[in-house]
Amino acid sequence: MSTPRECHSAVLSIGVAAPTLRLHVAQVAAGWGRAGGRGQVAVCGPSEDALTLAWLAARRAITAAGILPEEIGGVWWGCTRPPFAEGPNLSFLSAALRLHPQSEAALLSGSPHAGIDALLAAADAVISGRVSTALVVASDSLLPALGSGLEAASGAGAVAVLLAAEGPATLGQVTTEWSPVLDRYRGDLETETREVYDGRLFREQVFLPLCQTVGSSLSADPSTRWSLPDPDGRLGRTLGERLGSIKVVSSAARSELGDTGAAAPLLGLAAALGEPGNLIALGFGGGRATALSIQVSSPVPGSSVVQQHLSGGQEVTYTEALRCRGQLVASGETVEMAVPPGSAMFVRGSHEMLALLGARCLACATVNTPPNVHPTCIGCGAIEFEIIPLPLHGTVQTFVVNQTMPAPFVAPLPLLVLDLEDGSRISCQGASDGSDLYIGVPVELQLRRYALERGVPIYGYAALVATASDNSSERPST
Amino acid sequence: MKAVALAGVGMYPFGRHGDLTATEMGATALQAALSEAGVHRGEFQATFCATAYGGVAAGHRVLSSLALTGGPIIDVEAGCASGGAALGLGAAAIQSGQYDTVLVLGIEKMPKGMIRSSFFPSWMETAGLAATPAYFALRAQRLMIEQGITSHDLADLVVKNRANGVLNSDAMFRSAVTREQVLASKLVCDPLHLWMLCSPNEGAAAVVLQRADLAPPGSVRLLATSLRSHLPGSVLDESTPLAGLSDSEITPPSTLAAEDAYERAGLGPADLDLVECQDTDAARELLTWPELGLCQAGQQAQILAEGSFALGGRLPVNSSGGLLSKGEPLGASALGQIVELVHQLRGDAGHRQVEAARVGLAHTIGRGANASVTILQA
Repeated sequence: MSTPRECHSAVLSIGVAAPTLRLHVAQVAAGWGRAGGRGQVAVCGPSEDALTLAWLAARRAITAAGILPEEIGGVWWGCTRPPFAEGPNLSFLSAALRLHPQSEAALLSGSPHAGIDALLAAADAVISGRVSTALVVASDSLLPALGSGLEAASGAGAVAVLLAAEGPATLGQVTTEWSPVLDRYRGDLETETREVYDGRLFREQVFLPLCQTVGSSLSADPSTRWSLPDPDGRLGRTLGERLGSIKVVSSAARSELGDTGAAAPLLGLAAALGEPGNLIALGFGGGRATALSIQVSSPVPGSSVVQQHLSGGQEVTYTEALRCRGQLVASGETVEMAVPPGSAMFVRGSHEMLALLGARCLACATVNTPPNVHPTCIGCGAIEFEIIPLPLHGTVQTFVVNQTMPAPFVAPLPLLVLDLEDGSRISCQGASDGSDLYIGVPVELQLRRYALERGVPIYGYAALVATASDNSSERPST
Repeated sequence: MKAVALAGVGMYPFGRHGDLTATEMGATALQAALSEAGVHRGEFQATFCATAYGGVAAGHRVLSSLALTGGPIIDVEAGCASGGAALGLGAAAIQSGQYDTVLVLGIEKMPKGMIRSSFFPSWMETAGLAATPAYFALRAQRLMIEQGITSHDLADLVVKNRANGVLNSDAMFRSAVTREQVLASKLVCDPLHLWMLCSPNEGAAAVVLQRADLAPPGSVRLLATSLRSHLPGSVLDESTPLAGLSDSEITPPSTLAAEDAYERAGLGPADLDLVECQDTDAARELLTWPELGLCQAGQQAQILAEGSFALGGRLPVNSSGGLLSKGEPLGASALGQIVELVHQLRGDAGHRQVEAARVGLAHTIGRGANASVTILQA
C-alpha cells in the first residue's frame, strides 16, 4: 500500500482550451475500410498546436484570476509534443503570455504524465516560497501513428491553473508509483506516437494495477469526484469499476476531445472545480501513475466556462484531419520565404510578434507597429518611443479572404487590417475561413501558428470574431 | 524653361513572349521610336531606362545591342510608376537646357504568377501577409462601403476597358467580356475576381523626348509631368494599409501628383479630352477617378452606367484597354500609356481614336507608394 505525501498549495483559477476541429472516429475507421467507430476526437487546425492551445488556456486562467501576467513567478508546462523538440518553447510561451522577463520556467515532457509533473513541480515552487504565483499549463496535440488504434483515441486540448499559497481549492495528498515498462512510445527520428506492444499485457499488468494502487491510497468517500485516465476509450471505465463505486467526472471532456495526453488529468476535473467537495485527479504515462487530491471550498474562478470552452468545434473528414496534422502533404514545391526564421530579423522581431508590442511615440502618442521596422514615428517623425503591449481586441478596418495562396500557406486565408482598442492599427491573418467577417465587426486576437518555415514554426496573432462569452483576451492588457 | 516635345514613340506589344528577352523587346521599341523621331546614333545625349525586374544595367544592355552606348544611361525604378519617373528625369534634363534630345525607355519581363517583390518587409512575407492581390482587395473593400461601389460596378469597369482592348492590336487580351463572365471568373480575393486583376506580363515602350523647337512638326507637347510618393502614415503596414485608402485626412499620392501637374500645365480636369489611368485592378481605376478630380467620390457607378468614361463618352478613360487588357509589365506600363496618348493626340489611334483629342493625362500608382501624372497636348 502506497503512502501519500502532502502537497499544500492552492488553486487560484482555471482555464481550458480546445482546438477548432473535431473528427468522428467512424471517419477514421472508414478511412481504413472498417465499419463502426464511436465518438469523436479533437484535432488542431492548420494554425493550432500545443503551444497555441497552451497560450489560450493560460490567458483564460490568468484573466479568470484577475491578476497581471508580470505578477506570475513562472510557468511550468507539461506537454508530450512541444512544438520544438529542442528550441525556445518556454521563452516563446512566456513572451506570448507577457510574463515578467525574469520569470521561471520548466518544460516537463516525455510522457502523458508530464501534466501531473508540471503541477507538482509548480506546487513545490509555491510551497518553498520561491514564487508566490505559479502558472501550470498542460497541453497536448498528439500525432498518432497511421493505422494504429491511437487514431481513434488521441485528441488535443489544454488546461491551465494558477497556484498560490491560498485559494478556493487546495491540493492535498499525492501518491506516485512507477514500473519500468514500455507503454505508449515514440523513438528518436519518429514523428508519430505508436501503441504499446501488447495491449492486453499493458492493461492487466501495467495500467490497471498502477492506477489502482495510487488511486486507492488516497482518502476518498462516495461523494469524491474522480478524473481518470482513459487512453483507449475503454480503460477509463474499467479502472473506475476496479476502484469501486466511484463518481467519474472526466468522461465529458474525454468524449468531447478524446485522450488529451498530458492535459487529461487536470482537464478531466476542470469543470468540477466549480463545485465544493473533494476531487481526485489520476494521471498515467511513461510507466508512472500519480493520484492527487484537491479540496474545493468555493467555486474556482474560470470553472463556470470550462464546458463552454470545450464544446463546439467544426467537424472535419479524416483526410482533412490528416492534412492538418501534416500526415498528408501535397507534392510540389513550397516557396521559401525571404529570410529563414533564425535570421537577425527574427531575433529583432520575434518578441514583438509573440507579445504583440507597439511603439508609442513620446512626442505625439502615435502607436507604430511593428516597432523594429519603425525607427521614426509615422505620425510626427520623432525617434523616442515607449514599447507597449497592444490590446488583443479591436474592429475590422478592412479585410480580404485570399482564395489562392502559395505554399506553405493554405487558402482560404483571411488577411485583416484592424483598428485596436488603443487606436493602433495592425495587419494580421484571420483565424477563421473568413465567412463571418465584415468591416466594423469586433474581433479578438489569439496566438496562432502562421507557418512552418523551413521546418520552424512561426507564431503571430490571428483575428477571430469576438464572442461575448470569451474572456481569453480581456484584461489584463499588459 | 525649354518646352519639351515627344518626337517619336515605339512599343513592343505587352503579352507573353516566350524566350524573348527584355533587352530584345526594348531594342525593338527603341528603334521604332528613334525611327519616328528621325534621331540617329550621336543625336541624343542621355537615356533613362525604367525597369523593376530588369537587373543590373538593364538599359545599357538595350543600348549595347543597338550600338548606341557612350552617353549616360540611367536605370530608374519607382514601382509601377517607374516609366513616369524616367520620363520626368528626361523632361527635366531638356527643360533645364542640359540636353536637347533624350531617350526614355521602359522594359520588363515579369515572373509568372502572383507578383513577389522585395518591397514587403521579409517578416511580412514569412507571416503570410504579403500576398499582393490581397492588398488590392483590402482597398477595394473600403472603397465599396465608402463610395457605394458594388461588385457589378467592378465588373462593368472591366467590361469597359476590355471593350477598348478589342480595338488595340498591342493588347494582350483582345476579346470583349460581359459582366456575368467577369463575375463568373475565379474568385481570387473577395471582391476581386481573376478578370478584375491585370496580368503581370512583359513588353517594352520607348519615347524620344526633344526640345520642342528641334522636334518634327506636329509633335505632341509635354505640358507637365509629376512624381509623388505617399505621405507618412499612408502606406502599407503603417497607419493606413495602402496609399490611396480613403483616410480623408491623408492626401493620396495620386492627388498630390495630379494637383502638381495641373498647376504646372495651367489647366484642370475639365480641360482633359482623354485619360490613361492605373487599372491594376478594377477597384484601383474607380478609386483613381476622384483622386484625379475626374469626378466626385460616389459618382463612379453613375458614370459607368452612363458610359461617360467609355470610348465615345464625355471623357474616355483607358482608350487603350488599360492594364486590364494590355497586362502590366511594371517598368514599361507607364510609358505604354504615354505611347497611347501620343497616338490619340496625333490622331492616328485608328478604330479607338478619340475625336478631336487635344489634351491627355496619364496616371500610374503602385508600390512605394509612387504615383506619376503626365499631361500632354497635341
